[in-house]
Amino acid sequence: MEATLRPPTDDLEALARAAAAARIAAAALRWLAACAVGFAALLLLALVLASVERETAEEPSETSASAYLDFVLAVLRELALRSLRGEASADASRALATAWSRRPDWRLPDVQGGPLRLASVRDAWAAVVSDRSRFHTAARGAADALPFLLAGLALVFCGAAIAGALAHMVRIPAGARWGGLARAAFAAGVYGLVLHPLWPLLDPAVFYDRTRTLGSGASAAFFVAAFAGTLSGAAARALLAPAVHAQQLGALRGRPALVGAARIAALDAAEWLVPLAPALAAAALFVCAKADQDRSADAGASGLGALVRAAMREPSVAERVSSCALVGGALVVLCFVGHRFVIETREALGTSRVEP
Amino acid sequence: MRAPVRLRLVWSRSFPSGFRVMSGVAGLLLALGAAQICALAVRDEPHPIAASALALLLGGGGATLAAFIRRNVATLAQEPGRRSSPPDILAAAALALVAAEALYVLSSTGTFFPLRMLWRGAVPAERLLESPLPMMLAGTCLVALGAAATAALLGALWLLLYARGLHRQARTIGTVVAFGGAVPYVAVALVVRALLCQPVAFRAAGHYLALRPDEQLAYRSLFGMAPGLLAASLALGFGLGRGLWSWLDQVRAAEESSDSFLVARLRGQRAWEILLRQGVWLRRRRDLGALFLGGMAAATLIDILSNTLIDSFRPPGFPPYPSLGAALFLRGISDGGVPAPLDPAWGTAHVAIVLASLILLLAQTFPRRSGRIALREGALSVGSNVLARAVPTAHGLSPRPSVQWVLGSSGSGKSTLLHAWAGQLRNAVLVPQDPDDALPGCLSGLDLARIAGDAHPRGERVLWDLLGRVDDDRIRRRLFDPFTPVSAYSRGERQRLLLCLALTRVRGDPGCTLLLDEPTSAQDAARTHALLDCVRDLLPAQFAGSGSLVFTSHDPESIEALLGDRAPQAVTDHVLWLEELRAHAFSVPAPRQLEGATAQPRGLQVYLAATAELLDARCSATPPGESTDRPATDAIRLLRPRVSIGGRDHAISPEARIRDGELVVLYGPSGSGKSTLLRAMADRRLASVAVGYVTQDLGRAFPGEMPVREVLDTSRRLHSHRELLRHWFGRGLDEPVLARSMDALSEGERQRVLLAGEVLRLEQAAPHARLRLLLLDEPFGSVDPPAHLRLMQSLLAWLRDSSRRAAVLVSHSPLVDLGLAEASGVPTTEWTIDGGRA
Repeated sequence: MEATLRPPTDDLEALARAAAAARIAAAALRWLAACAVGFAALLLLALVLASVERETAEEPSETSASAYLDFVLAVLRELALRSLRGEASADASRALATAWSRRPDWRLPDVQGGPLRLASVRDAWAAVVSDRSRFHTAARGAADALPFLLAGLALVFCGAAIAGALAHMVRIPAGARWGGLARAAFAAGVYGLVLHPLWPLLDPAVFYDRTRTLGSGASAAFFVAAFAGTLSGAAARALLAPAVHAQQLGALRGRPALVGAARIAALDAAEWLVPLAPALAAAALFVCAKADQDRSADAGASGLGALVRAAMREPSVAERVSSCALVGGALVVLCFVGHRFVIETREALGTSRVEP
Repeated sequence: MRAPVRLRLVWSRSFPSGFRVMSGVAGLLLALGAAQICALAVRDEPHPIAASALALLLGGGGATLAAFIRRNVATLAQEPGRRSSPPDILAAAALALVAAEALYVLSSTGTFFPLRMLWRGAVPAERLLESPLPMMLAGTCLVALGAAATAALLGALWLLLYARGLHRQARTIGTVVAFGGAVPYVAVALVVRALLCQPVAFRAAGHYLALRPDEQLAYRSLFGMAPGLLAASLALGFGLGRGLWSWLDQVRAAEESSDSFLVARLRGQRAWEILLRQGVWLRRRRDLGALFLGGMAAATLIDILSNTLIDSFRPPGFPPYPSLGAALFLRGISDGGVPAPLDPAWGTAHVAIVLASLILLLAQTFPRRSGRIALREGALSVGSNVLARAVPTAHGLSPRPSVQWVLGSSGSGKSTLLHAWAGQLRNAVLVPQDPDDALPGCLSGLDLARIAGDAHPRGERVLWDLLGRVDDDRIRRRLFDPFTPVSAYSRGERQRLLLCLALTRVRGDPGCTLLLDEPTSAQDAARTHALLDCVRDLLPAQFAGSGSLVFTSHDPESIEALLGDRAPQAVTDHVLWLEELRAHAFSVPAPRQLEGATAQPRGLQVYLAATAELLDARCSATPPGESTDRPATDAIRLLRPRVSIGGRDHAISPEARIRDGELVVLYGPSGSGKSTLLRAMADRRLASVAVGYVTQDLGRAFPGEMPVREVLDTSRRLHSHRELLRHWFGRGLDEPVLARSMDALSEGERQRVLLAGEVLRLEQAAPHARLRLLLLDEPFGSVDPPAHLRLMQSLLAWLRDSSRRAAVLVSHSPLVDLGLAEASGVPTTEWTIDGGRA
């Protein structure tokens, strides 16, 4: 009886909490399903590749070109010596041209691939599921890079949300003291969220120094988030946007709508993130590869790094392409899962269903 | 023409605003493609097919972009005083950085690296000891440009398929592009190099001089350059094209559902032309430029990272192509067998290129700012444009129960003033004319109910009650719906919800000032009255708070209900009248009389007289449903028996026919589907009926940058119809006005321009049609009362003047329009939508 007398709007808070929980749970379930589909597709690709057996013909040895290499080295050495002796460059060129015209004849070796043969599904399956199979390596590689990718994406969302709240705060009419604090926080936000994340990208050593790694912790995740200006761009969008909606929400509430502003900024960041997700996937792979080069780290080589290295050392072109396809497949899975993470986060944050 | 003017004209046509950097990229691509093709004829190219394909890719992409610019740049609207935007400045900074790096490399190596983009093929012997840095930089730049060119060609392919109506093929190719673009460039680069590895390495070693005495004979296999660059351009371009393809799909969906698309189709334009002109160029060319430039910058960074990654695992003999990423491999090994330190020149090059890319990327994050609204020393201005002087500040507003009115003709600056006042007050709520400016589309009704709960101790309940008072059960139910976004509600529903939210807030805080900008413009008569009653509750005779109520409206009903004469309350209202760049202040004590220090401006007298005339017309009209039916002879049935409105089928009465010389007034509750019905009529396209269509929401319907001349669609015969245009627009349409953009006009002016254009088109284009039918979707919703009166009289005169003319008018104030029509002797018919039947 008491329930019938209660105003219908009394339970809105509880309804809102339940709806938010339902949205987050549904988004998480959909993302897990996407992960399962992605890795299943990778397994299928590995099965298809394993079912084609290649009989490798004997590869011609690279040393067959050694005569040419020796010859070219000799030419170069001579050129360098003459240059050091201060001889005229025209003479050096003439001498080089003369020597060059007497270079030994050489042609490309005939590389014949062996015939292709289909293996039985049972054999292919056994090859794929064995502990040291390339599928395991690829799947492990994707799984190794996935935490960096997800952490990077999550950092971008968080950065955008913080920037949105800061931008809202600085636009609230306030007294001189609080206004000054808000402006200081805004300036700190511009440095911390827009400028500072760009420093690692401007450091050549991060890219070209094999002894320099990003580790496997927060700095690696920040590098992934910052790559291609993703974190900086999302934060800059939130900081620079007019934020009319957040201001209106604040006015309608009668107090700052910091959570609303953060939510709107994070939703906007999703639009910025969708096209950049593949770039972040490549950055996650790069971080793993750099970690492989860290001799001080105890952990073993990451899966994709090992697979990339193996792919480039395979003796035949067919084997190389096959390994490359698995690397590509793992990267596609990584991109797909990252993309779904962005989409599902957007779904969890906002309302997108439109009634028919 | 003077030389500076001519130069400015050439500059604005070569580098149009909003697409300046992309115009430069288009020119660069064209020049590179042409030069590469010429160079192919004279140089010794080891991969002629790949090199030709790359040259054609660059040239084709450049030609596509140049054709797109040339097609659209001919009729640009004048943009007085528009300065360079931050994205333009940042893009220029990025370009300057690359230029500085080019000069630095020139000074340190003697090679100007941009010229290396034209030169490929065998390395001459005398260049053996040349630094590879210029070639690497050229390769990186070529990859970025190639990616942009690939994306441009994919965009052209999308448009070609759309123009040919090959929707199925477009979907298939879209899927291929989406999949191709999803494959990360690292994987593509790996596969390409895996395929090229052996032959290229051997050829490099055996035939030419791509060999250096460092890094254990590193293969600088410049022979792999053309295939490598082509593969990189295509792979990264597919990634960029994937985003472009889905963006174009979104543009198509948005544009095809827009009223401007329908109007342009009625004018006989082809769908792809409308899409290209309105959807892409006029509305979204900045977005397109941002997509390209951001994509190019991202492509550069991905290319460097991918090459670095691959090079870090590469065994000897695995070929690179010139790119900064190869710096890892090419810097060699020092005496101790460890990698040599990176040459400072390489580090500088890395910083310059990455920084330029990041600047270009971040430049795309700047929003497009409209002019800044300011109210200083009595001058109300937007940017440098002063709208009115002698404007008081918000701090002098009288508290309730007085009402501060802001009145003026369309475009006089009323909405701007409300924004300025809202900015000056710490505790104020502005309800803008367009509810989308206040309500984020991603929020649900439940989210908004919680906002009401924050604004008032029992806010949810207050909101619920207010919605009940305006008889809006649908929105009431949606307060419990957490999953339907506000964007799915009709415009009238959003406006009601916003107003009720604002009222909830003000009820809970007597110190809060409420600023209402045309709050009932999308409401029917019944809901207007209900909402005004809710507003009236804020105006008790005794009010202890400090909050004010500011109201601006063209609606005669609102003025009648709230201005001055509120029965038992003897309070003085205040009016600020904006006219001829000046504000005039008056007090309006009850009974309604205007008193003020200055003489009444003539405009205000005309305004109030027109308001009174409209209200008189309302009183003299025959109530809806009581008019006599006319015989259906020679009547045309435009609507099908059933029409889908909001996903529900509505039966159309067989009596819904249109006759010569008749004015059909279509009315119904807000959100009932009047506009949908009008669109259905416009979309029938009967050969015997020439249709002119004036849409409701002109701010959204037409691109803001469209020149007035283009909306009028009268470029050929404008001079002979100047008088007609003056008659409908209300004043002369001289060249400066014709060259202005639509967003430089007020909402009312925009509606008048379109109305004049559609009437003119019907007169010009369809002299022999059986019926010339004007479909008008609330054409008077945003115009001031004098303009409403004058336009209605023009419409009635147009109907009377000649046979074979008719009009269907959607109106939220049907009594006013019926009264005016009956007074002029024009036959009228009323249509209504109610309960699934029209």
